[in-house]
Amino acid sequence: MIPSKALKLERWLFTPAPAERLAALRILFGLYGVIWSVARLPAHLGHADQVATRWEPIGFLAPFGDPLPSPVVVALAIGTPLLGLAYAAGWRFWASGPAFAVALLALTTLDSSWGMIFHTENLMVLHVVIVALAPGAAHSLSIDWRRRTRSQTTGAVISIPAHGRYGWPIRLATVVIVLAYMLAGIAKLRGAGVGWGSGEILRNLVAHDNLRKALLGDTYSPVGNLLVAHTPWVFTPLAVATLAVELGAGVLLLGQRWRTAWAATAWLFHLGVVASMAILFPYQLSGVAFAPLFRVERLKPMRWLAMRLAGSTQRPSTAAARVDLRFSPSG
Amino acid sequence: MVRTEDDVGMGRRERVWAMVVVVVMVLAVALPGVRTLLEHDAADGFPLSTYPMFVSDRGRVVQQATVVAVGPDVTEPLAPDDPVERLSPTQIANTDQVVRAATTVRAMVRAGSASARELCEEVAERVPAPATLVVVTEKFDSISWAADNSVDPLERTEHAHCEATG
Repeated sequence: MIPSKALKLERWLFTPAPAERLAALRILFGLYGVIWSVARLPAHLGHADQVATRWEPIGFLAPFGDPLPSPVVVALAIGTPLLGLAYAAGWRFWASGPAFAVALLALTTLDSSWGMIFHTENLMVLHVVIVALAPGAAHSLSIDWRRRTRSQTTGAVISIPAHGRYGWPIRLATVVIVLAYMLAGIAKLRGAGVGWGSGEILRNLVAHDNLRKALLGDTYSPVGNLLVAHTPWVFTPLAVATLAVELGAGVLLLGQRWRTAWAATAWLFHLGVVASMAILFPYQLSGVAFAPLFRVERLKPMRWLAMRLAGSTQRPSTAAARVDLRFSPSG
Repeated sequence: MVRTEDDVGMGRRERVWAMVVVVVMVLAVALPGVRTLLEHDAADGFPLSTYPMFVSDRGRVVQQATVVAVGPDVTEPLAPDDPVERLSPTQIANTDQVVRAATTVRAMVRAGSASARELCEEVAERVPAPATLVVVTEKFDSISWAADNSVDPLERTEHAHCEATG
């Protein structure tokens, strides 16, 4: 006898969602990964020039005792955005999905394998991996889908009913957001106790971070310095708000209004971080990190794409058509 | 308009796959955080992290290792109020990430004077001559610095110096 709570959880997980929504997330995550890896190309190529004695591999790269050979670094740096384009386009997604996920994981892990672990790309990688593992991610708004429907039908417009196979990856992507933020909040309380909310630690952290940037010739935040020097009281509400955003991420599981409110607050939180510390979380500030919380298939570019793809397959037909949606892990 | 017929529903194999992915992913993301509840200094990782950012109180007095440039052929130890030129993270550690540059310098300083010298000579190749490069640890009151960026360090300790060759 399966407990009723487990059944409720399963029902929640497999709540039907439109294929277009999962596809829109695939496009957003893929395009973001492409833009990120292109923007960081010089830095990624620079991994081939690092001092070998500073190699401290972690995670995926931990088994590699020596730095990756230069040709591998170059292949990763150049190949990742290309794979990202295929991922976003849903082209041969059975291969491009996992390949892009692995390449992106390798590249981001490489960034953190020189003695310093970064925390700005965790969600991006997790989201890309989740969608890569979703067999239905290329069932809409994709080259694969366009090719498949042309070969299986007479070319009439196809509509895909909402289904749990498109819902569970979106639910999982949401749960991962909840976990990431809640863990960050828990870490603060675990490390410093509720005293973290007094604001003094946050004030010292802002001051320290800006000072470190200045001493190492980097851009720092004059706004942060002003707050530290002249309005120290502001760090108490800022610290409380930080903990509220992080520990309160669980509201994402309650409903759309909660999701919208939390996403807006979290975005403002990251805006505050860049304003006071010149620390950029581009995945969050672009909004893509919060895309699983919304009906992104309704975005104008997605609707335009859907209409374009529908129009290109539309030919007069009176015959009923069946599209083969039988499951395989490769989609 | 044609409707698809998904007459197989979500089959057992597909459902099992989904459940496996969900359980593995949730556990993988959550476990590092759970470990911090048991071990105070549980190791961080990527992309599965303990999210240790902004956790510890650094205090207001900060010691930061860095590499600075002064006029050429300087042999006297730098005083706290001696003017210095700040180098970029790229010049210091061949990276655009300031935190990685800071970590690199700190590690080389902690490893001893030979490593600090090695770092100095490495940086020297990336800084145009003529200049003297000095690997230092500077101590600041970070709150006072925030109020006035021109304050001098409370202390400045030299670890190595060399001439730029770039």
